[in-house]
Amino acid sequence: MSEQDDLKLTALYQKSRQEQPSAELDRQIHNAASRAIYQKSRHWLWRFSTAAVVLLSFSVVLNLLVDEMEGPETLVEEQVLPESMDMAQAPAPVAEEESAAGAPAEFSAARRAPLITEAPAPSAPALAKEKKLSAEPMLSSRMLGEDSAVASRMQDATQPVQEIPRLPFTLAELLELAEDLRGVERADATINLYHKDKLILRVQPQADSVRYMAWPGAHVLGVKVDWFYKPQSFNRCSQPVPYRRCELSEQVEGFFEGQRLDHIRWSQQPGE
Amino acid sequence: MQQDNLTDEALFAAYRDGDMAAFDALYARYRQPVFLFLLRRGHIHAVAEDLFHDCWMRVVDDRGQFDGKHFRGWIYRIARNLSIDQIRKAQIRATDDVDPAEASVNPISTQRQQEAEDCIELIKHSIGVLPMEQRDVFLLHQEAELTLQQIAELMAVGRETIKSRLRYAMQQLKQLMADCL
Repeated sequence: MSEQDDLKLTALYQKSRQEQPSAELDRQIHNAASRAIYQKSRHWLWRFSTAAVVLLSFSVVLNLLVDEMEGPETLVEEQVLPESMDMAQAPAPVAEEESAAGAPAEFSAARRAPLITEAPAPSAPALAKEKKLSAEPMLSSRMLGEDSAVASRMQDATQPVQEIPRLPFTLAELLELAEDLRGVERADATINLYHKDKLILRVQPQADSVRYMAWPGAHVLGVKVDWFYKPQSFNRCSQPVPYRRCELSEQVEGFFEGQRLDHIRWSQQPGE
Repeated sequence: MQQDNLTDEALFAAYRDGDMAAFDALYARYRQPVFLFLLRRGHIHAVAEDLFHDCWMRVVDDRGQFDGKHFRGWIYRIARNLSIDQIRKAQIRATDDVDPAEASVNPISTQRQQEAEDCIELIKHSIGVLPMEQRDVFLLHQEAELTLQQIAELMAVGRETIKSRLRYAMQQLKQLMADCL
């Protein structure tokens, strides 16, 4: 156990420092930090605007009270006054503040949907299609209750019910699989595919295969998984921290966070 | 350019005053180390990215609460707390059918150790084999470049305890990595 070993160990550790957060994540964090500062600088303007609106409202109310005392003829004249004073501009800063107050929630949504702000509003047919597709697990959950659904799955654990189609591995081809998809390709050729506000698929090229990871929501790609599976339904599972990895079938592995199936993983040969 | 010479604390103060370039410079300094700290702590890549994001959001949201003294210690404290919360949540959900003692041990399976192809891979897996307390000390020392005293303050234990944990961590790693040293 020499000091030379310490140095070698440190050197090896330094060599192992290769992984990095994605560029997309960098962008999200930069934007969030920028917005936070921008909101701060706008804060004094909002206070000033609010004070101005309150002052103006007070004077209008005061005028109306005076008018009521003076009679209906002058009241009609004075009621026109607020519009002619360009009051329509006054609420604008309030609206800005409302959107600012909503920002933290927006950030957390953007974390899993980095490009959602750039995505066009989904068409009505697409929404209807999505609603229909996502209705299936909701229905089974409500009708059976999660426990009974799990119980039935546990009885049937030897025959996992799932359909994993062969998926393309290029971003362009993946985007054609469904509507409302957005994709990000990292420098290491990993592709993250988002459906609306959710990460649903990750495609990682390996030496001689392509690895796929799918989350709930991947059904829009034809990936059908019973997300009620629980780790105790399977015999071959790894250690549980932070994820317990179980073989759902010969090709597919499931990653459980506690009792919840978080995502699945499988590989396929590009040339198949 | 000039920002390269500024301390972390000066950059963060500049960011709080509205200088986004200062934030970018600070982010560039801590981007990879904080991410690797989370990853090597045992989280898979997707979870590490989530925690990394949450960590920076906490830095941004709590910028007014930073006491201005030691940014490095502050950000790693945030990252570590988020990581601990995440693991705790997973363990609570797992207690129905999992022995808690089993749940607290290393996340790297024997199978994955066997899969390790070379020394670079082996050291990643070996760090995962360390008990969490030793792993924390090793990572805070190697990745965060904190001193023993700073780690002791961050983990709220004595300096001597940190020193012995680091020694045990190094010993265990050297044993696991014997073929590579």
